[in-house]
Parts: sequence; C-alpha cells; structure tokens
Amino acid sequence: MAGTSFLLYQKRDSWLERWDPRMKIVAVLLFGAALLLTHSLGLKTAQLLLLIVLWGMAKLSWRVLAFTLLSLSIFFASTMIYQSVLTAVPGEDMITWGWISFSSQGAVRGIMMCEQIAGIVLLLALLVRTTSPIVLAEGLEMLLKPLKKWRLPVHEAVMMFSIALRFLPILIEEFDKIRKAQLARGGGFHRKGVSTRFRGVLPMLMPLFVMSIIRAKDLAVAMESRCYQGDEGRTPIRMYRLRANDYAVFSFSIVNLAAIFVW
Amino acid sequence: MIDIRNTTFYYNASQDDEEDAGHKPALSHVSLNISPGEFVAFLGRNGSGKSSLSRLLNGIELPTEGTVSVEGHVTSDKAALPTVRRAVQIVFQNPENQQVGITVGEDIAFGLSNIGWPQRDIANRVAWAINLVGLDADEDRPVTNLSGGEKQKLALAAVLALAPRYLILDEATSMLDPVARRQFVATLHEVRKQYSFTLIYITHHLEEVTDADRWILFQSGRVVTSGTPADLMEDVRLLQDCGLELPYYQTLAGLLRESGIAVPAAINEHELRELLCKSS
Repeated sequence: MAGTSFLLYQKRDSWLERWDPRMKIVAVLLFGAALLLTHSLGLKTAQLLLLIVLWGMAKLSWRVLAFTLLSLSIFFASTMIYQSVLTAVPGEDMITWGWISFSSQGAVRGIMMCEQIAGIVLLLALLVRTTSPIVLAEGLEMLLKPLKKWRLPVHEAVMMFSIALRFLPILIEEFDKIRKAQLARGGGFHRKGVSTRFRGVLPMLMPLFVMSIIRAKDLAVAMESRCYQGDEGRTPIRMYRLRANDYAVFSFSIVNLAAIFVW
Repeated sequence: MIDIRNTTFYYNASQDDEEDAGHKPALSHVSLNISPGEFVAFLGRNGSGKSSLSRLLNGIELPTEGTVSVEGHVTSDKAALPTVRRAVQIVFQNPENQQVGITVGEDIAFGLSNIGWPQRDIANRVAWAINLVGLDADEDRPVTNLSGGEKQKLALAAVLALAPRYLILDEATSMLDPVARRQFVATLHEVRKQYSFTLIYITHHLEEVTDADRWILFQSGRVVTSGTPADLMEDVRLLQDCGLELPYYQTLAGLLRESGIAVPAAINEHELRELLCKSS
C-alpha cells in the first residue's frame, strides 16, 4: 500500500498546501531546473536537504519518504557503478579495492547524479502530494491559458492529467487485487525463470487494461451527465489570489536558480 | 414532464437497417409520460432496457427512432442538451466510477463548476448538499476514506447540488450491503420531504419501491405494463416473468391467503406483522 499512499493527495493543512497552485508549479519547474543545472556537490546536497525539510513541513510521512528513496536504490546503484567504474576518465584518481578500480571523481559525479534523481522524484512527489489534482489542474490550466489562443486543447489535456492522477491509486489497488487473484489460481510472476515471470505479467495486465477502459467509459458518462462539456461556461472551483507567501516562494526559487551561476 | 414517444434505441446504431442486420434493440417502440413530482419505478431483468431508457432521458444516448423530450426540450436538439442534463440527473450503480474529485467538496463542486454556478456560492452550495443528504463528512474528507454507503450518498449530494427536477437512481443501491441500502433509501425519502423532485428509481428490489406512485415493467426492451404497486403485486406470475421477486412479506401474505387466511391484497410489512400478532 505504500505505493498507493505515495501517489495520493490527502489534506494535512500544511503550509505547502496553502501555496497558490500556479506558483507551486512555477517553483517546481525553477527548482527542477536548478537541480539539473547545478554542478556543485555542496549545492545539490543543500537542495536535496531543503526538499527533505519541505517534506517535513508538508507533514508527509517519513516512511513514505524512506520507501520512495529505497524504491530508487536500483537506479542509485547502477548510476554509481556507471559513473565511478565504467566511465572513469583516464587521468582521474583511481582507487583500487581488491580487483575493482574506481574513480573518486566518478564517485562524486555518481553521487551528484543520484542526488539529482532523488531531488526530481521528491520534488514531483511534493507537488502531487500537497496539491489536490483538481487544484493542480486548475493551476496548470491557468498557466497554459495563453496556448488556448492557438486552439490547443489545454483544458482537455489538463483534465486528462488530473483524472489520471485521481485514478492512479485505484488502478494500483486493482492491480494488487488481480495479482492476488492470479496467485490464488497458481499464476503470477513471482516464480521460476525470467521468461516465465515475464509471461506471467500479461494475464495481469490484460484484466487491468480492460478494467481501466470500463472505468474510463463509466467516468466519461458520469461526467457528461453532470453537465461537463469541456471548459465552456465553467467557473473555477476556487478563487486563486497570489499572496506575499507565493511571491516569497517565487523569489526564493529565482535566487536558488541564480545561485548555480555563482557557485 | 418527460415525454417518450415511440422510442427505439440501438447501441452503436449507425445504419437504418439495424433490424435487418439482426441486432436486437435495447428499447423497442417505447412510449411513456412521467409527470412532475411523480415517483416512478422502472423494473425488469438485466438487459430489459431500464438503464438504456434512463440514459436517453439525460441525453447521454439519443434515440435511434422516436423522440424523448424533457419539459418540452427534445434531447436530440444539441442546443437543448445542457438544459436537459441540468434538469435530469443520474446516480449510477458504482459510486467510484462517477466521482471526479479527490475530496467530498471537490466532487460536489465539479458539477457546479460545469454549470457555471457563481464561484462565491460554490462553497455554500457544497455545504448545503452535504447537509441535505446527511453525509457525515466534511468537505475536505478524501473520497477514498468513505464507506460504500457514504460514497453513494456523496453521489446523491453531487447531483442534488445541481438542483435537478428529475432524479434517476440507476440501481444505485445494488453495490451496497443491506444496512447501507436501507440507510440510503431512508436518506432518499428524507431528502424528498425537504426538496421536491420527480424520482425515477431503477431497481430489482421491490421492497425499495413499494411506496412508488407507479411501477413500469420492462421486458426485452419493451414496456410490458404499468400500474400502481398494489395492482401489480397481485399479478405474481407477471412479476416473475419480468425477473422480479415479491418482498418477503408479500410472499408470506400470498402463502397465508392460499391457506385460507384472509389477508388484504394491499398490505405492508407492518400491517402484516400486526395481523399475525393479533391472530396468534
């Protein structure tokens, strides 16, 4: 169930939930850009620590944070091996340990890359776990409003995105039910060799796919019957106003991005 | 008033020669009138056309032949469709597949937002709808934390917030346990005392609709008959043909009559209990 709780927004009355969704999206983009562009280990580490502090301020579960980072461990391990062992540049300080030689500069590169992966995942997790999908969709739609001039289906795309977020936990639960049902019937992908496990995935994906289609169809009918007709004549559910809080978040994001050019 | 005239409906109909192609219509030459304020029950087996007709009333599906009009607005008129949908709302069978919002408040507000409800009044209307159905949850409660019965109450609140004049419950209690089902029906009756609307109730459970003004029996896409519950309950064979079972107390009343005990034709659960207590 940790996978489900990772994706689900739940109201916790935290400071982060009160941010304007537009500013939150902009701040995530700016922070993400800063994370990707920084070449300083110290700055990247500081950014990651800041995200962990924000996680705490958002009153999110530390178990979920641990689960999130642990689920990335395979990426961390492969990144470290790739950067420090496989792509060591001649001339770099090589440390030999038994029969393995690895580059210390490569290890630093690997750590920075791992921090980058962890940072991006935490950033997105913070965004979706502290913002209701409908609010997120409304924020995204307001930000992308100028694109409507070119007749781009902004509202429809954003609505699809928010519904996907809303139904992701349900689909995960359904997958779990199907997996258990297949296990009870002697199927599943937890036994024997790789090819058998791979073949075992298909009987689980097919029912999930069929269920998703049925759900999508039912939901479309229910939305239509509740007078949904795209963004024509809709009123936003909430009134959004930028406050001093939001400007402070924006200013900090700009300073954070500018800092990479100084270090 | 809802006026259904000689309506035939095929799913995925695109050609005129559907009948020739061997497809069976979901509805065949159905004509009906439903008056404002009436409580009507659509009864019949699965696939008999009850739900198909409810979808025609809301304009989700359009008739292949004939017309469906709601308060003079024909559903096939695209311009009238928003008015028709606003007037006729449906609560579906599976509450999970009709909830768009993450929280109770967001889900109710979704419909209000669609009809352009004034933004400053949305919060008040959401609170009104929660209060109307007696949902024991604040608007910030996640939908996933609600029980099955509460989810269906939320679905009811979400459609009532739109102030419909016709409410269709399409087997809305079929996924609920007996206790939740009784509570949902009790809530519905409470709501009807406070807020008047025409109720179209689709179900297989006759005990939920014994106080309806009219039962309409469906079979193979056709209306077999319609009448008051008291009249139709006498024709047990017809009910059985339509895949319906009498409530347990009506079955018991029938058995008592067969044994020579005088039991009135129109009797409810409490009257039968009193009769049995007196005779013992």
